[in-house]
Amino acid sequence: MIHVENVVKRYKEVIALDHFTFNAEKNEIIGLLGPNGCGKTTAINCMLSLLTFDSGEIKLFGKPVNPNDNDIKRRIGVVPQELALFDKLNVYENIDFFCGLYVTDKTKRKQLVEEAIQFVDLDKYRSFMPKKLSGGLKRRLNIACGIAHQPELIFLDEPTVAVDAQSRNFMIEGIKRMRENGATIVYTTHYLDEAEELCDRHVIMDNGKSVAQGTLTELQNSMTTEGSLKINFVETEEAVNAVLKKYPSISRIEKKNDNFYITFISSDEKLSDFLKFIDEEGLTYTELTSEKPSLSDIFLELTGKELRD
Amino acid sequence: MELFRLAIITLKINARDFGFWFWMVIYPLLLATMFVITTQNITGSDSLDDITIGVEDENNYYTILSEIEILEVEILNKEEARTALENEEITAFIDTDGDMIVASSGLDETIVSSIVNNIHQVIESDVGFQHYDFEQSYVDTQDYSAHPEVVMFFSLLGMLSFYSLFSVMEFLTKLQPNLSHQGARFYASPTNKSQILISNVMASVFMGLLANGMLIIFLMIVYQGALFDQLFTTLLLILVGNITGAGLGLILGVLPVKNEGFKTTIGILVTLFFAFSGGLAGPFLRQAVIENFPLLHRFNPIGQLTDTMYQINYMANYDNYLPTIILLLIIFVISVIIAIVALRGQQYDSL
Ligand SMILES: Nc1ncnc2c1ncn2[C@@H]1O[C@H](COP(=O)(O)OP(=O)(O)OP(=O)(O)O)[C@@H](O)[C@H]1O
Ligand SMILES: [Mg+2]
Repeated sequence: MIHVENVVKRYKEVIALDHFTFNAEKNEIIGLLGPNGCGKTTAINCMLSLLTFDSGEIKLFGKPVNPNDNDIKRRIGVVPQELALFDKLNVYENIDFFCGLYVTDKTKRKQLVEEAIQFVDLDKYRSFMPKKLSGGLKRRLNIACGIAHQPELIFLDEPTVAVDAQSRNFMIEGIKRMRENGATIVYTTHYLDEAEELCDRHVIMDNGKSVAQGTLTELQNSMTTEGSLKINFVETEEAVNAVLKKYPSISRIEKKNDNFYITFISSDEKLSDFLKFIDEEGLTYTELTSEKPSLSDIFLELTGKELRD
Repeated sequence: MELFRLAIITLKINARDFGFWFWMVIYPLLLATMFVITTQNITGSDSLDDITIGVEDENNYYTILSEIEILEVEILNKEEARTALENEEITAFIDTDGDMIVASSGLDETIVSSIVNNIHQVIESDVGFQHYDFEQSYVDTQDYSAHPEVVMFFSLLGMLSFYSLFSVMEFLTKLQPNLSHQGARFYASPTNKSQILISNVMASVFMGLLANGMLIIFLMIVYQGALFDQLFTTLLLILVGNITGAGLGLILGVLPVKNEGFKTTIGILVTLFFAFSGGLAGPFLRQAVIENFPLLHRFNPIGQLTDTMYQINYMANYDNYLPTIILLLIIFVISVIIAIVALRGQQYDSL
């Protein structure tokens, strides 16, 4: 469906894509994950043939991209990272206008626009001007404008930034439904938990390169870290941290809710050694589970960077 | 059908835009009101104010000058002439040798001096001056000076007819991914860009014409129709002005500058420049341009529009009507070609 091979894109002195390679199959949600400036948007713009690139090859639907290929453009939908709306058109009119760039049949379009409005749950706001929408609602409108024509291939560039958790879940469900209806989706984000839940496969990007790609399991299996220990201590956070600092082979400590997530430098770390250490230091825990590495663990190992907001 | 739908969208976008109402309707009416307040009564073409001059005796000058319709010639001796000049009863006095004496400088004095110079030249060139049409030379060179306020109104109208450029410029900027976020959507879609553009030009011209129409109605009410003797053909000129304005909007639209304020400023300055050199700043500047930059005058779209509106309404002269329309349409066609070349199947190095 998408075939990107060794694409190099240079902006004057910056190399935005450095032999970037990835593939996406039909009917999957593929996550392009990476920190700010790693080249996600550039990659999408090259695939849309908005941008020229210096070398490499990009094929969509088995054909090399070409800015004048309207048959292919017709099958694609794009939700740009930046808001791309008309200030002077209301919610309905904006969706209708952009959908009209693909669908000229009036009755068909009307139905599609209605579905898109339901999809992003903007029914209450259909006659609002974008100016009167909150940031998150604008984002949702931005999404609706790009997917109303129900394309086969959809590029979503950080669509859920600034969208609250509830609407985000709502949209994630919607995106899954689009996949069920046969769409292929390229999804960029730096919310790794979102990617973990939504994407079938992940492409991890750093500095314009794809450093790894595969399903979560594939990525987990290729890692050296065994993942993390999830422990619930009785003692206070300060006390726990003070003790854990002394243990040499811990690479990362993270506190989420009441739990500590502890990652070790090497996968060969003996759990018994660690437990003995805790015991000797006088820490008490109520719960202990071993977890597979999360996407953020994988990301950290591959790029040495944390990817959080 | 699709064209029509897209045009309606441009109409909606403009109608909801305060900037549109301000620049296209309120600002022109304010400007016109200011002009109305500062100018004295404007009259129709049939009542040119005659210029009274004195001549020393019934020589050749007298014969020629009294043939010229706008001049009122009196025979005066030098003594009488001096008093008359001081009391501003006459504009100029021409003595036996053809030398001209004036008491002040002004438009009327310029007109008379130009005519007298003409006569000098003809006399020197030894051709029988019976063959010369001095009235025509007056019409050719100085006719506009007779009604400077009128020229200013026509020039204002000419300039405003070009304001269709703003709506086109703004929309075209939105069509290009290197200039606006919306551009990525347009660019990624299979829609025919030229169709979108044509619809936008149509709608912008239509709205421009409507806005100019309001100004014309206002001026017709204020001056009881005096300005627009030939209303229908004037409207046709205004329509063509809007079309050419839309063309300039296309050029500004494809200009690869992200800052829309900058483009708007250029649009305002360019139209103001053409309007000023074509009569908005009064007849002196216009005359100076004709004398020093004849080509600028010849190809100044707003200037030609102004002249032609004046000629048809105040002189019932249609000689320049078609040439002006052709000039404006040529400018439009050139603009369209530039825009098409600039937009064609383009990919960007950087967004
Ligand atoms: N028009 C441009 N000119 C020069 N450099 C650019 C341009 N656009 C992007 N870049 C650079 O190219 C690199 C990749 O940018 P890109 O926008 O693709 O990143 P991204 O992964 O989408 O980041 P983000 O998560 O912030 O959206 C960055 O280093 C950026 O500074
Ligand atoms: Mg980006």
